[in-house]
Amino acid sequence: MLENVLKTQALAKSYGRIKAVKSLDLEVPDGAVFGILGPNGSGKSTTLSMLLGILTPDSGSFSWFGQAPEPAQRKRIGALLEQPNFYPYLSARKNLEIACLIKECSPTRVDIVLEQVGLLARAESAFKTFSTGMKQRLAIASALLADPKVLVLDEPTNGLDPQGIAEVRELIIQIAKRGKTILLASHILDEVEKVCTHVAVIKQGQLLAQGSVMEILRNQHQVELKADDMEALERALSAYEPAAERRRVGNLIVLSMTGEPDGSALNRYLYDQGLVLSHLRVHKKRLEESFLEITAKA
Amino acid sequence: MMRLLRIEWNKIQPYRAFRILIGLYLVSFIALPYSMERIPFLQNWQQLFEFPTIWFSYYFGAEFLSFALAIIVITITTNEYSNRTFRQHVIDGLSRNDLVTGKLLLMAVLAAVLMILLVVNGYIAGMLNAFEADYSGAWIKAGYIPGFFLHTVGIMAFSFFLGNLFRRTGLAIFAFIAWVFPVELILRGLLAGVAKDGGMISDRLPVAVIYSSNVDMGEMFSNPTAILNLNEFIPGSLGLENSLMKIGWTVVFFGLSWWMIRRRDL
Repeated sequence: MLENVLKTQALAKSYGRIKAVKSLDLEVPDGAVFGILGPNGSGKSTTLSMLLGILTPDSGSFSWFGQAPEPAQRKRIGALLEQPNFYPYLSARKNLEIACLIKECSPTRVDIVLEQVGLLARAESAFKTFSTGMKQRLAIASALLADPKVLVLDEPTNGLDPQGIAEVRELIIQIAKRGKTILLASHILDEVEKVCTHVAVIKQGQLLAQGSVMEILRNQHQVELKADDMEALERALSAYEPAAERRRVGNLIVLSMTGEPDGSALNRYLYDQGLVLSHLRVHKKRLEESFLEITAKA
Repeated sequence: MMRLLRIEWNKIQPYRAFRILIGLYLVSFIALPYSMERIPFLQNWQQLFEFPTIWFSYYFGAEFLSFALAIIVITITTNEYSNRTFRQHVIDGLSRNDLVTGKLLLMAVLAAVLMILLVVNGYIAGMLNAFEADYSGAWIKAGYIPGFFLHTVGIMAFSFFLGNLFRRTGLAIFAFIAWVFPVELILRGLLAGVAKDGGMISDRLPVAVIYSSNVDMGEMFSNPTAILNLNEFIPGSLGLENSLMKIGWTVVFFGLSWWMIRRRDL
């Protein structure tokens, strides 16, 4: 069992009458790329803000590296929350030097991280002259400054063009390869599927599912079916045991299977009931489907 | 402590608005004891910038200039909110106490440096203005030197408080001007009218305290005997009561700022 880098217990926060986060329990294992997946306004940023000391939780607790939270811990955490925050009139280098003083890291790190995100050539330019993508990359550079054990990234590809998105994702994967734990909040399923090892799905501040991406999102197979008489097909399938779940999606019926699906067996079963299929397709469940399934239940 | 100071200095030193404002302030501050020599309605103006009255006059003149310091402090404070850098500092590992301590240290150092400048420049001006080369009594009214430090820190604490309260530069500067000119004056008038000891309370309002020089200026300019004997009319320092009240308001304003920053979602 791996040690947990982060653990939250019954974390909660409300803004007036709106409960942004309700009793959240998360466990982030060491070395994981942990995705927090949820639609806009589901409480992802609020959760991360609490974990980084910007918001005070109403109740509940959390621990970093197995210890109660304190400011000094955050020097070992690299974070990018929502948008890059820098002094617009200072150069990239000067901004990072300030961050470096706060994090008490070696000044030589500044050039190293600027190089890593490809901004060394623009080191002396003022932050306000940067494009959105460059600002985002500078924020990632700042997060990497202290060579942190943990990276917290909130919607890191927000507002970037496709090339920028690809660059940032590549960067995250590179960083994860060096054994760092990454906490990534995103509403983009594709992003989480591409880079994460673990995922927590939240909606309206509530945890709906948590575990490894394989476990939660991809372990199931799905079968799409279509017949002339859809009502009869639905009736016949209601008694079909290997199907964990049945949904109507457009003019198809989609089954989520408990084990490895056997297409011929299913076909024979239905044929025996007098049904002839016009469509049968077996495929692995995509994250999007799992996500919709999980959030629809809540 | 040095780390927090270096962080603060790195933020403001390349900031153009800071450079311009502090530059203008310094030019006026240094020119002050030389340029205020000619006050047309005062017969014996020379006395004002001779030893030892120069310490009072320099203090009194510098009070008007500290408006520039107020704008500097308000700007660098509200910038931390508009750039969301207070937030970033906490994310990066500073505690909320560090945010206040950093600014407090910066203001204390700035006030101390200005105080040293006041001593050096004031002494030079005093020597140049002296009739004879006898400086034995030069320091008699030197109590205004630490008084200047208290005034400077006080006005900056007030500005820091307004910056934290309003978080927007324009709004905070407007609030500062509004408070200094009409609001506190109206309050003083109201208090003096309502309560028997209204004068007692109104003299303890923040701007009245921070800007107090312990001298009745109206009396000084209108009373012929006072003008002829400025040396006797002007006391040696701000006095204990006013000094303590200046410190008191400084503590209150830093305390309130600290309380806001601690409690607030950044």
